[in-house]
Amino acid sequence: MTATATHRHASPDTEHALRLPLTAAQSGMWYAQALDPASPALNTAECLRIDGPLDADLFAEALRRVTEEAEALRVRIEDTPQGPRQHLLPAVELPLSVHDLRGDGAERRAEAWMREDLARARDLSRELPFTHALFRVADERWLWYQCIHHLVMDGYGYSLLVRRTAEVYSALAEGADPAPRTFGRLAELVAQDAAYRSSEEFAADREHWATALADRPEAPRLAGRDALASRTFGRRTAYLPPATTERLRTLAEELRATWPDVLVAAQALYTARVTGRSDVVLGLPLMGRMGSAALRIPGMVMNVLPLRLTVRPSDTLASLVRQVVLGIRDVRRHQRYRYEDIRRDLGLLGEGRALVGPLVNVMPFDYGAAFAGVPARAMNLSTGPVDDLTVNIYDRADGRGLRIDHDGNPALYPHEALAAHQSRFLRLLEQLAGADPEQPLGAYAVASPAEREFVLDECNRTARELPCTTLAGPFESRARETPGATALREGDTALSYEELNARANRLARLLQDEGAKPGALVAVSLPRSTDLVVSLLAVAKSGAAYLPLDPEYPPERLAYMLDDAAPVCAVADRAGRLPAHGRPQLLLDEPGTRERLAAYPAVNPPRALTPAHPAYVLYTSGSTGRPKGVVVSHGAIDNRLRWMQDTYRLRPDDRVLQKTPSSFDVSVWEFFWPLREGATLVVAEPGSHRDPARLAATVAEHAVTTCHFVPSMLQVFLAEADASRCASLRRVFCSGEALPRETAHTFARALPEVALHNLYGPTEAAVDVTHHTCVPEETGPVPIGAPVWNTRLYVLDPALQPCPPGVTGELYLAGAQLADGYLHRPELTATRFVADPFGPPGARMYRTGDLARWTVRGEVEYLGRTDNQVKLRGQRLELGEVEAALAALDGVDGACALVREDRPGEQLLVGYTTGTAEPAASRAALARRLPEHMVPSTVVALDAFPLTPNGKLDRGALPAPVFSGSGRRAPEGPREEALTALFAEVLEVENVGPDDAFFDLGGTSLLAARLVGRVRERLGAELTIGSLFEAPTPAGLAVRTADDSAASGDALGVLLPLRASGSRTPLFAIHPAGGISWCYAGLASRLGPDQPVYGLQAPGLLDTSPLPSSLDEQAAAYVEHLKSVQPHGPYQLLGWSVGGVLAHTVATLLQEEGEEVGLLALLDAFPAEQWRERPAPEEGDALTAVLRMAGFERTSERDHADVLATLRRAGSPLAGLSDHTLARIVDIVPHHARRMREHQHRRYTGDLVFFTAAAPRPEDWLTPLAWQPHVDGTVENHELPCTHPQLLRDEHVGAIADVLAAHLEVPQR
Amino acid sequence: MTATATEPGPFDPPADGRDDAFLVLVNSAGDHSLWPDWRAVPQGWRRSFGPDTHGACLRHLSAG
Repeated sequence: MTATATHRHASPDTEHALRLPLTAAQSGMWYAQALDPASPALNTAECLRIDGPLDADLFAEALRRVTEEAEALRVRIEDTPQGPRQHLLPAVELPLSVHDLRGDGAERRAEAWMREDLARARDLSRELPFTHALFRVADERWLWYQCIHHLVMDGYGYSLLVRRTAEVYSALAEGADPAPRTFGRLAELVAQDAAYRSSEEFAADREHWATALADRPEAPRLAGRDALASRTFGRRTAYLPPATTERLRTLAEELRATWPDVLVAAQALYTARVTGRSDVVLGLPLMGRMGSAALRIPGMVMNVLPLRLTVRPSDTLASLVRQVVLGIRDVRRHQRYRYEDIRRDLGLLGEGRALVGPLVNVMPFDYGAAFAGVPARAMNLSTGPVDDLTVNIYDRADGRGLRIDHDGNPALYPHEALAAHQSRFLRLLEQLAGADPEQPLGAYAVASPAEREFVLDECNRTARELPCTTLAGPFESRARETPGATALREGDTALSYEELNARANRLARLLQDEGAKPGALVAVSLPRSTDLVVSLLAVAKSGAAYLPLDPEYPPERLAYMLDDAAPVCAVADRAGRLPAHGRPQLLLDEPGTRERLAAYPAVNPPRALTPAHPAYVLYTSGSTGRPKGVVVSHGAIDNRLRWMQDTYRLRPDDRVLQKTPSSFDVSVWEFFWPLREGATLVVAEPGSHRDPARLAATVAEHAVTTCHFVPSMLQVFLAEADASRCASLRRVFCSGEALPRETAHTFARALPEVALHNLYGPTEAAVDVTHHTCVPEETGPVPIGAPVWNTRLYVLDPALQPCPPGVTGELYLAGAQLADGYLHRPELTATRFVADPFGPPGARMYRTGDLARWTVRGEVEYLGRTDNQVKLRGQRLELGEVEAALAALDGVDGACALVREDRPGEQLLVGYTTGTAEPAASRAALARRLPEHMVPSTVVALDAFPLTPNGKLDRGALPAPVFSGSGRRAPEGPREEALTALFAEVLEVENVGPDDAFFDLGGTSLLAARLVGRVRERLGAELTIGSLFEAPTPAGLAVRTADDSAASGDALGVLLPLRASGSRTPLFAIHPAGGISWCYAGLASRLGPDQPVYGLQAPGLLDTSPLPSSLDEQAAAYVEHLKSVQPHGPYQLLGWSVGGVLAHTVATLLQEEGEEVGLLALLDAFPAEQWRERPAPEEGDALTAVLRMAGFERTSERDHADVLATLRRAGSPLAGLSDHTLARIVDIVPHHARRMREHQHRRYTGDLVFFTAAAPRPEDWLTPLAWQPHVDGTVENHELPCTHPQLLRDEHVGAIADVLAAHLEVPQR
Repeated sequence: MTATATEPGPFDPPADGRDDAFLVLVNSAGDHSLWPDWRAVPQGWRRSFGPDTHGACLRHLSAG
């Protein structure tokens, strides 16, 4: 049993009944404790092992005397209105307990007692800040435990207390009087502190730290993240063997340094490698005692100071140690300036705003003390709070070498992690001790041999012997084996393997005659279709490599790729797909091509193709502004496809959806995998890959079993589409960006029977190189997984040394799937495809620029990028290329671009410019040069770029774009109101008005899918994404969904009900030259909910009916339509441009029938004779007119496909028009011009209300007075300060509405 | 959050105008590789140019 005796003895000491303020150092501790009063983290503790006889009573007496001498211990802390104060107690009861634990497990029981005591938080306003305990664990072994709150004592103070206690005990044991006390007074400490803080030195120190840390790096974190402070810490203790310790001492001497300097250097090296940073800031605890007085006072003085070091692989240990020596010398000079003050000065107060990385706490002072000749050895139990990681190094004269404690915040460092860091650090010390200090630091590796073996070999055992095949061969075998099986479906049509093979063979032979052969390139520019599949197969069969050119790309981009790649010929579906490029173009829709094809035999063409020949070339964004062509060999992609089949086992009854554009590498397996395995390829209709509902419909219709999603699109698909319609699915593949765990969970709930596979890989390594199958129960980040066949993954640190599991580095890829390189870019190829130090001799590895780490299970996790390449909705883009394109615009002085995620999950590409360029114009200009995914959602103009203190662009300080609705008018009617609310909800933008366009408010294609889903759900209206492009405002959509019919065609009928309800006499508004009346939607909404408004539109927008032969005939047809709405007058008519001439004609026709016309209003419309002598525009001008309708000036658009592409990229409402309608508009514009020049005006009885676009124009002869001969009343002219196309813009439509309102009939009934 | 530009990697031009040396390596297949001078040359590769600056190595590679 335990015998416990507690000695109590009051020792009166009335000398110093003082109340003192806290020093700055103490205040830091006080506030830390006040943040979490129940935390024991600020308890520090030591245990001294005394091996020999000890007189417990004498020991208590000695302790009592030392406590009397050490004022700092005898305080009670009070929180007063003036701040915390320490009340110096004249006398205290010595808090000592003595325990006799002799017997089994004595030390263990003593330790448990100590742990329990250490874990108890102290309330310093009520109890003493220290506790002592003395344990007798054996006859001649004692443990002295002392626990002292960090507010009153630091590590150096402990050493003073211990030595004085030993001195007093030894004297008492000899029966002698102890030597007089030498401790300084607490008041001295307080006075010194106050003096320092008002000194010039203090100001100079402040200045020093502010300058030294102005451009500081982020605090390095071995765990890769921050956590809140814990109440406890984890500890691993190890000893550096004495021999190594000796070698380090010798090394230090050689380098004219001390061994602590070498240890700090080693920690800097370790930290730099594990965090991948060359600029590291360590925390250096220092005594903080300047001058001999402070050295005599046991108290809390110590300070932690930042030691900033540069560690590069090219540097040597010698130079790093020199840096440490000079750095510490510098830090010491300014060591009295408090750490808390530095953080405050830098604005880093508060949780998680760290300044320094690991603390290196070297305690070279010897704790050895003897109690009457009996030696005592100190063992630290706690050095106080551990925010992140503290490495305590003790040099104790016990012959065991250096003791190294790794103390870690348990929230960041589980036990194994702490152990791993410690053993690697010790190993690094061994390496450093045994190596030439002049060799580059890059030669040292931090991974242990076992870790190295695991990540380099064990995880990469993927070797697999494969036959030498190509993209063409396996398909041809399959066509031979199962000729009658269905190879491909598109809509209602299907092709058998035999048919597909025959078509591809004929085209392949034709291509060969055009020069296609192994090593050559053939460009293919077709929208997603059967012909596209035939063409890609044909190119492979010809032996050439295919170069996909997305028909939706801007002509400038296509021209660049054609010029750069120099294909022998190009295949397109029709003329005008590709800019002229001086090579033969094969147009599949030409009768001549069809005739030539029919003449070729349908059998497989001969070719001298090997797996080493290129199979395809895909262009990806280039950081310097030039896209680059990645050349992938047949062998590489064949490896990928063989692995995929082995892993996922496609069967003949599988159906694989082809929806990825051919310019992205995912499409390669979509095309070729099913066709090698006898399964069916289902071609999704163009445009449907963005529309979840249409995708779900396609999956259901064709019983698709296998498809691919970019994770962000999968998220939208699961949220917006009815997944229960997708019962046919067996497996879904994700790649292109990080797959959020939440998405994987949602998927598992929605489609529990369907496997979800996460794949990863760059175009430079044949689509995918890693794979992971999601397990519904798992949590944490979804790994990108393990390597595919014949593939090695390396996660390397900045010294090109392998990172241990859990440590982040850059991902490098090696093996069979590496691309050949970049077309015609040897310097780029040699910097990205580099020598592989770990593979077979002469091997290459590809540097991905992706940050990753190995898990202990041998899978890789993706963690971001090392550079400015970003993935936006699965599509890779280099910000540098966007920046280069912005900077090349007129009026742009400086440019920068970044992907922001101001709202979780909503990524937005934002451009920033300085200069005079107008942001909207900059964005529109980019839309004509860059593919859609590279056009910023918005461009923000800045006066100047924010800079970091050292003058670099501070990307973090670039402002978030502010999207705010115009809120110019309130929504009208329940539908408009509901839609306006949905816009605001989906976009999370305030003040949305019914006339605000979705894509101007930060709308993205993903948000568009969400909005369409909500509209379906809340309003029950069937809406497609296309209709949002056509009518991107709530007002426009309200019209589109007005009568529960959403078919895009309804907006193109002759009669367009802009508002069918209301008690007033309707207003009929006739279209301008393009034939479409959507432009009146804004006007309609401003005329109020009681005013019905109908648009009249040109016939033939939807069908191929012939255009009217005269304006009279056209007007007569309109009379019939408006009578169907309003059988008798008075009629009210409005027309813009040619619509005005038509309105005048309609008015006269009505009057001739005896009907009354109440209002005839013309918007900048001029009678025929003003035009007659001028030439009518031709088709080319019509394209210009269409672009102007959408607010663009024409640049490189050559034909209506180009125009359509421009409109789509810019998100124009006209972009949703079908090819047919656009082609019709292109016909209608010159038709109107010609018919107008032939028109003969009749005379209208009544007054004319006229609106003139009064800005100067080239046609300066135009005047409203020209109407006077055709009107028998007056011409009331209103001038608006704008050009003709600007008349119905928001700024002017209000004025027009006001004038019209004054003329419109009051209610009929 | 924004994309943060990180420090130059082992194959990037050094920051702060430092003049670290690079090599151009070649293997038996005729592939070229930029390589930092501070790291041992991997097996199966030999030096074909350098040590020289990053820019000079790239110019050498472009010249073919």
